[in-house]
Amino acid sequence: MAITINRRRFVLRTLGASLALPGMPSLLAKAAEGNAAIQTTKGAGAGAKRFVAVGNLLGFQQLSFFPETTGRNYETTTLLKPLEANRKDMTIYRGLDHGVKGGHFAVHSFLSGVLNSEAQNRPDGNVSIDQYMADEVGVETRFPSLTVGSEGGIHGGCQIAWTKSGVRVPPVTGPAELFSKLFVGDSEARRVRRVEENKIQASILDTVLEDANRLSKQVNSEDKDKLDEYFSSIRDLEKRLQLRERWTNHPKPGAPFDKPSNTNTVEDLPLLYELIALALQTDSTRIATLEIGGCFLPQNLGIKKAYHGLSHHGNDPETIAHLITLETYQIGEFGKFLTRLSKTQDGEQSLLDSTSVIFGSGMGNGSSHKNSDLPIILAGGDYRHGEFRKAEGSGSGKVPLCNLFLDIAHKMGVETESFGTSTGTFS
Amino acid sequence: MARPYQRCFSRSCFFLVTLMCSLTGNLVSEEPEIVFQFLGKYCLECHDTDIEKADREFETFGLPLKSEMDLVSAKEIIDQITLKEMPPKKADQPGEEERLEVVRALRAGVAAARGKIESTGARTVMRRLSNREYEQTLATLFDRRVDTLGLTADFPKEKTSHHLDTIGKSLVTSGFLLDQYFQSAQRLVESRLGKPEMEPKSWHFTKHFIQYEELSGSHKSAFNYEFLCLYEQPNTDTRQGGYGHIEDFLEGVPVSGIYEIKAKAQAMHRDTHYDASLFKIDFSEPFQLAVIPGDVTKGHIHYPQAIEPILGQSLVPDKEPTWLTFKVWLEVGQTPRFIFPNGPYESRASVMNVNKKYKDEFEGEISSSGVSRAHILKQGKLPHIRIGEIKIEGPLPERAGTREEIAVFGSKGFQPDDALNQLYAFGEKAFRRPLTDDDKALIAKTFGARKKDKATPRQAALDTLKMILCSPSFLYLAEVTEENDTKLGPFDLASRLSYALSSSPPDAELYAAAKSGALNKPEELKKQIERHLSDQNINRFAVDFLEGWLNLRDLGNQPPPRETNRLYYSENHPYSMKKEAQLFFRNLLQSNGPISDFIESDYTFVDKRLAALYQLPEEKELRLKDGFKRVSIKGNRQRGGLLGMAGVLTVSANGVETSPVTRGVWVSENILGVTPPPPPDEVPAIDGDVRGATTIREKLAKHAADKSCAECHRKIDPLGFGLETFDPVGRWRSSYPKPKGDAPAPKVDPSGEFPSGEAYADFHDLKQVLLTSRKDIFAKNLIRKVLSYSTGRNMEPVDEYIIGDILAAVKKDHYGLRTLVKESLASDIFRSR
Repeated sequence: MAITINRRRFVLRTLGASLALPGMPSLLAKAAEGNAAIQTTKGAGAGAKRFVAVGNLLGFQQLSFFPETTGRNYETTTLLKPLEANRKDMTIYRGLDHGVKGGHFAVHSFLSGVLNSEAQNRPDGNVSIDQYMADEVGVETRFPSLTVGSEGGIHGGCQIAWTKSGVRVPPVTGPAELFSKLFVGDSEARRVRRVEENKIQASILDTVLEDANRLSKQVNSEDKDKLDEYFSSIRDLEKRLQLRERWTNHPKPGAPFDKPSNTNTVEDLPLLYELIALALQTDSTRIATLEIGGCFLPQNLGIKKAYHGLSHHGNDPETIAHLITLETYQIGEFGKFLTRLSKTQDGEQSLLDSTSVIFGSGMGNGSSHKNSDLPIILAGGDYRHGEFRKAEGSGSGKVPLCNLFLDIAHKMGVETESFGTSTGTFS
Repeated sequence: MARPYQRCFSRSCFFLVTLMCSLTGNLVSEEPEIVFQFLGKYCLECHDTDIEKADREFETFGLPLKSEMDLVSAKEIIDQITLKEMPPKKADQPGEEERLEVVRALRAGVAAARGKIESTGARTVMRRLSNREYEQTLATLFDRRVDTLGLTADFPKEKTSHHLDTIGKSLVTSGFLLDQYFQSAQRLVESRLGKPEMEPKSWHFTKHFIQYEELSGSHKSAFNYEFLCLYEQPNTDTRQGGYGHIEDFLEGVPVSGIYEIKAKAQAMHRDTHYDASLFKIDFSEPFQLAVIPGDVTKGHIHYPQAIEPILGQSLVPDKEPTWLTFKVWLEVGQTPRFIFPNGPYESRASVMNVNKKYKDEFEGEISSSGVSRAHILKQGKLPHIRIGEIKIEGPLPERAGTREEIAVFGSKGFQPDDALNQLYAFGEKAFRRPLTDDDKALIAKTFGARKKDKATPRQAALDTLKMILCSPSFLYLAEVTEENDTKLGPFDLASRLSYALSSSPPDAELYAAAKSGALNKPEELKKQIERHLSDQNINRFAVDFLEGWLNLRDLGNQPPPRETNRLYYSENHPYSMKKEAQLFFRNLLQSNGPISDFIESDYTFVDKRLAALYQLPEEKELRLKDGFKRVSIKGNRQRGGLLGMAGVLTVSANGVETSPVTRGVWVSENILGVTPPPPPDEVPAIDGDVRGATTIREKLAKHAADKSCAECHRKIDPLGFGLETFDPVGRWRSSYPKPKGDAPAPKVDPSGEFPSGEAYADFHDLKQVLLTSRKDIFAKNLIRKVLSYSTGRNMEPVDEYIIGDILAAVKKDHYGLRTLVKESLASDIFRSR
């Protein structure tokens, strides 16, 4: 890292001080411009590529979401209305999916293209695009990635982020936890203890590796794969330890406002977006995901029904109206997040230009539990935007959603020929 | 690792000989022809190599069976023909004689192939301990509960296979998890063995009981914070006084240990004249007070936290403030919190309603917003628990050092001069086998390195313990044998048995039997199985196995809407639901009762709450404190067997609505062991446009009009239709919820018909059909589940021979569950790697 710790500390404290008012993006943006946490110097994150993905559990009403007319002159549908201000910064896609089935049980393939049940048969398992890229670029930041979401929800919820070994990355579940993770540093005594703990852990890890090496000479043929899994876990942990060592001595950025307490996912949603924006802005991470899952309760928007029950709307107009209310809220908050990023300077460009943002769901038509024809918005990331694009939904010309993910990976500087079920790049 | 392979050798020879004998069973010459003719006549029209309907073709299939795939096909054809599910209704049907003949021929073919078909797998891959086994193992090694530490709270949720959490292939390890193992070992070892010596201290609290912000105003004005008040049970949506903490003791206890907590408490206004329905609880029951740990650094002190096992519980007298004493284990930094487990449901709402309904009873000035809580507290009869004084003393000294010190280092506690031997002894327990020289070298190396780093001998030993708890020999059941030998060595067998029946490492007696080599003798193995089954700890098997088999683990994952299911929450129904199934299972296991009772029984186990849910007469006589009781339900057509249990009926629905399809699939998978295929690609997705239809049955009839749907649904749906008389949380019903408008509530039609023509009128008759023609299918499924759970792998086609042998033995013994478990665990499948 080119800048000194002191310089960084100074900048972050200044940023913290001017961030005293939460929820005021314009102020935040101004502060960042004047005294940018994101340095204009190379290597401190300025202009670095970032990625955010947002997924919900039950999809969006396709009839109210997708426009008819393709190209730049697409009409603003009911659900796209809240995004009108962001029109030039985003593209809407139709016809993209992963070709998987399973209703709720397949929603978790949103960012991977692969069902977890099939993970064992694939070299990279059902790794999701965020974790795939975090493995490559994550070492640059304190957190290789941030996974924000909830444990709850029908059949396990969104379960958006997966590692290569087919393990779900446990989510940070609320603004309070996310805030602590980002801004609350350890006391000096604790820091010293951590340094010591890291050291002991590293030495134990060496010993354990020796034990595993010995075991590998004895185990039966059917056990080899499992032991390999253990070895790769050790390698992964070694990487984690190195990171932890590096960041243990490096202070976290100053807190921009007091620690919030959790209320409920509906009311917390703006705050979660704000914290994710701050995480990007302070270069605490370059990769983040957000699940809008089982904890998003309609009752907090005044609808006394269960979300899942509503999703099977049977074309009942009143039920659909409720769903539109829920979805409009989700899309509206997403729009504000885009605006927030677009007004934040990041080196020569806006933070939105540096960040590829995917928004959508692993569920296509929630009423019939289809995982095809997924609602997909790609925003930011310095693409040519402003269009509604229809991909071939079926037949031989069918384009897998993973092709779009492959484009994103390339944008992030991750060199790979394929990702998930991709057949090539999207463009 | 030195293993006594030789010892098993003679036994494997014996096995080989038996195998050879079965090879001689030859096919009678006409059997291949019978099968060929039958398939050609009734099956190939759809299942030839061109059409391959449902991905099955039998053109290349025939006797003798040549591959594992053939074996699968043969089994499937036998099942389909026996249950008359194939050929489809509209096609030509074979006569009864023809059916029997081809089934006989196929069975002979399967029998003749025994030993000839090579298994592709049928091996348990080295598996790590599942999260619950891991916690249980640590609790055993340290001889104390560890649930107060929440060691696995941040572990990734376990990946299951058919709901079982012991399948080696599915139990993945990641860098993240490995890191968690380190954190966990660190926390456990340091908090339990690295704590400073401390003389007991005492604390006394008589005032300043500040609680939840919203209560502050009223508590100050009513009694100046001199009481800690509990108004509701913790399990509510709109929190208001469900958790009582001690404001002046937020820092918690200075060191992990046993603490005596005394609280002077009184149950207030249990005889209130306010309408009981405002509180949604049973005022005939004495109020309960329980102690749970809290940690102010882990989240809001008056909200639920990740770690809150109930540490102590007591009934609260009504008459006057009474000292109640709890002896509880608290971890360093934890502060005790009080809860009111059977308290009113949602205090916020009940106070508002009291305020509305009884405001005329209050004297003095009443504000425009109504009677305040303070006002109600001063003059009214709001039911609650009131604590006025709290004393804490501890850590209480334990006789002869702490339990974990003795469990880990031996009866003398840690001895610096003998540290290495003590660590070796612990290593042997942790690895569940004698240590090799290499094991010892690693332990000595770690210990030495830490000492060289200027750690005290004790600290060096503690760090070595952490290493042991992170090494693969501890985390994995490796089950290594000579490559061409497949029988488990005695120590692996001991671990497998012990984890199967007690979810923990072998106890001293089992370990001794492994060490002497006796365990590899079938009679000793049987003796050990019998001993475990008779042990009190067998309860853990009932709990853990049912979590998997019936997927009770997921009970509560799809919560029903609170407004329409108050009792489900206020009375914690999921707890009672699970308990019923566990007691039922345990009873059959202990009494060797017939497994047909799982399908139909004239008794079950209920507590007061379930008795009410089931509308049983015992609802009146049972008291909550009596817990569960076996009750006769003779003549009751609404309950009996697993399918009449609210737990099963809830976990097979989604909390909001029921469906004969999802419940049918549940029964098919978990009771009969048949996983229905997912909808094939060509089937049009069921679109939700069902405005005209009022019941799920009508909706299904609409979908099933499509032939390709009907093919599977005619097999699945009959298993679910009979369960429609139960709502999503297991309550009996005869009609569906009333739709909007003037339309009457549609009646439930619980009748069904199987493809075989077996028809039933209602739930009770459905069970009779299952008993009559599917008892052995169920029995085999249960055998497979027990074997999969205990060996850590899913059963494969070649295993079916031994499963058949087990079934024969179980049948001979009147289908006893104990026999089933014993035979399964004594089988070659269980004893092989």
